[in-house]
Amino acid sequence: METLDAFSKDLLRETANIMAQKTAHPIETILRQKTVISKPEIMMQKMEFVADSLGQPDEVRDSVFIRILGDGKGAAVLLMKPEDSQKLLLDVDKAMRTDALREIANIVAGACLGGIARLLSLKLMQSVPVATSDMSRAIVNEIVSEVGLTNADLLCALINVAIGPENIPLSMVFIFDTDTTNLIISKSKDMTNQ
Amino acid sequence: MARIIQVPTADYAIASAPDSLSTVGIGSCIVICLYAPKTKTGALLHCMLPREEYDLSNSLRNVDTAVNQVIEEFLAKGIHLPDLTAKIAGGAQMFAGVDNKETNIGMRNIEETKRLLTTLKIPIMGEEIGGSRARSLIFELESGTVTISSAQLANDDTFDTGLTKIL
Repeated sequence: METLDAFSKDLLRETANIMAQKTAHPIETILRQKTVISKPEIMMQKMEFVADSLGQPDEVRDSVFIRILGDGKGAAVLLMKPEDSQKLLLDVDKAMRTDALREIANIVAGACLGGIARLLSLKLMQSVPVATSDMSRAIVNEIVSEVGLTNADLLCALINVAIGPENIPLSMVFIFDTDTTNLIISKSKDMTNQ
Repeated sequence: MARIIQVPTADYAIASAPDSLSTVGIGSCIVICLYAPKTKTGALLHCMLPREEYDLSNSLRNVDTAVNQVIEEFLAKGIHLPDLTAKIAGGAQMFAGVDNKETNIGMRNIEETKRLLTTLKIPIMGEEIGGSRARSLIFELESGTVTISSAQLANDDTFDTGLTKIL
């Protein structure tokens, strides 16, 4: 993975851009609030460095984890500070907030994965979303341990979203294993006839 | 002056009193604190996976190879296996509903750690393992005490990092 050429990196950036574009519409539809999507960040890292690149290790995050299955293997992860998710879901009954967050992650992940699956002719499925609130490093390390079990080189696409007039931040992270990353590159090259 | 040495994921540190070793955000990972009381020397290992089976790029990622590396360093310092005791923490399952043993990394980390320490005849003097909460810990080399905390949800929906257990 460290030896990816510039063209392959560009292809991965473009894939992340497509995923980012697919993020805005479902969030705006569910929450009826304007969203601003930042330019996605692409990181290729060993599994042990992923968690600390996504935030302070001991900071608490509300999170939703969705496995990516099918032609590719990976994970989609929603991360929010608890105070931000409370602000975002103020109108939602307290007992239902975790369900609401799970649903947001599920729909956003579906839109993003559907977008690249159609573009690259891949079959990508997603698991039932599961949620927890705890320290950021603990959450992400468990996910990358599963995705990176056979090869520790992982591709991470980080999409930051600012929601509504208060710009409430939400992060979606897509993590792919080495084989899936190579598949995305190969399919993208086929598309561009390179 | 006593230092608190932070140990990142897939890494370890060895130090002696009056220093302390610390690591934060332990979920499914397993943390092994090895202690030689006579010399007040200890090691803290923060491992992600049970065994070196696939990716060999970092031997400190896995329990088996990381422990062997630390034992070598202890031996070089004149500290032998019978001098050591262990305390372990971690091996949680952060996401409820992911019950497949194949993918329950936390449980596999606990099993491998216990198997290895038993094989090496290093007694486990304390443990805070399993469950579904993340942990942070500090290992004081003056006393060999391991203090573990975890993020607890308070009544007002905020999180406090409260004391969980002293080993």
